[in-house]
Amino acid sequence: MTIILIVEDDFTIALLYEKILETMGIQTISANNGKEAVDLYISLSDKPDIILMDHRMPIKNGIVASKEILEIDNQSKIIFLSADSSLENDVISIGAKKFIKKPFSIKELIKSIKKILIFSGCTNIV
Amino acid sequence: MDQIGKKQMRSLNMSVDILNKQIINILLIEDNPGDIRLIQELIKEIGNGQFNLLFKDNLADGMQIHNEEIFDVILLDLSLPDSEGLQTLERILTKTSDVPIIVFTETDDQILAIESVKSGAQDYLIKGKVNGILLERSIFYSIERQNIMKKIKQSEKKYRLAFHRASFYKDILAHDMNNILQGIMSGTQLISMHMSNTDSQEKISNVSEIITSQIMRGARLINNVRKISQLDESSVFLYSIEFFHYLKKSIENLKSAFQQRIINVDISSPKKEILLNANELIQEVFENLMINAVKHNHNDEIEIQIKISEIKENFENLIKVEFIDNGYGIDDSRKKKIFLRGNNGGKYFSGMGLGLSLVTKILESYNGKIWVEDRVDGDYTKGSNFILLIPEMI
Repeated sequence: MTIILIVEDDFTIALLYEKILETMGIQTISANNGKEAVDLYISLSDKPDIILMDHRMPIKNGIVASKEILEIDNQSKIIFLSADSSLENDVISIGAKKFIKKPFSIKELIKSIKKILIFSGCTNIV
Repeated sequence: MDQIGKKQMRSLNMSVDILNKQIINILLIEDNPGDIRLIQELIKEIGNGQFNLLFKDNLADGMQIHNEEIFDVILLDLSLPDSEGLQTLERILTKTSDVPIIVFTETDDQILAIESVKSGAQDYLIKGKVNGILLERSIFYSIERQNIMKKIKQSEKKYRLAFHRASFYKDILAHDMNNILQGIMSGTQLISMHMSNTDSQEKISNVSEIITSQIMRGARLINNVRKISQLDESSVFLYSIEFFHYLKKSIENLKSAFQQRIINVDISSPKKEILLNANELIQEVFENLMINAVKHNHNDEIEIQIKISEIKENFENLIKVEFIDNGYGIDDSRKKKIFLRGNNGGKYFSGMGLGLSLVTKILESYNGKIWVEDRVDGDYTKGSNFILLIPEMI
């Protein structure tokens, strides 16, 4: 079963991501901010296949959280979602797999998720 | 009158202001008896008795009298028994920013003279080369220059505020609006994904509710921006309003905005009717606080407890209103920051939207207060207690 960790402080946006991923048969878990995401990541025995990461969140932002997660496991697959396209280079240079500019289409998100899953050898994709 | 004429008139008026001022109080800080005598003589010669001179022969005494009396200008010898060189000026500048300072320097020390002006002196005079005309010119010139600098500083402050406001609005567009658009876009696309499936009727209606709530959120954001800029630009009228009337309206609006969520509101009050010295914007305060309590809450049942009490502070009757929720709380590092958005140079504090900035501005206009504490002291994760103080109408 594919698991995706959603890191997003906007409750409605997080809910919509969940609903989109649900239609793909993907299981989701959520964190409200960067700190929660890192803590949750550490505590999970089954690490998520992909992390959807927002940037501007309280307590800890997306870039710092991504760095910390990649330090724990440099194989973590992070898709960074932000309205600020000036972050793209930074995000890719720290090791995120993909940067998607908000607002984005569901198609674009699904395409990126599928691509990453195929590369990492996941076969059970809807 | 044409523009240039007006300008000349204005600068002429300014000069006339100084000339008309009956007494110009001068503080001389100088230890050389010969120089003191010279300045005293020159002051008598110039200004038709308009100049009033007081002298001190060391920096400590000079700064002491400067604290106690008001001077229009300070004449400062840089080499004094208790201070030497540029630091003499720097020390006095730490105590005053309004009074112009003219420094005395030795003939061979042009560099020190220029350094002094760079550090904040308005002018310099070279010892042994001072005459009445020079001294008078320097005094008037320094006072004028100080006035102009004060005006420049005020205008700089005004533009800095305008700049902060602009970056604040840019921030709203860049982040909040984009998130709202993301919500609407994902929502509509999700609906079209479900369209092909006839069993998805309920899912479609769920998502369509989300889209509506995002549109409402955008509208509320625009409304809040409009109200904040109104509060920034115009004076506010206060009158007698009835507290519970607006509180009840706010609760009704809250419940209709979040129909899909279970919200329990519990009110406790010593009185059935309370009159506040405020205006109808109080409803924005109540609604924004309660919206936050619902939005930042993952519980199946949202509990909002509203506790009202009367207190006296500085002989003023105040109504204390506590909005206590079971949401996910605000950690100590953010307790102050959440109220600052849009008032702090455009810095972003995510999660609370624009509502709290508006709430803060409205309460400031009532001479009221707002802050946040933990519902359970020391454990922010159990929820927040937003506390308001609002002046009562007597």
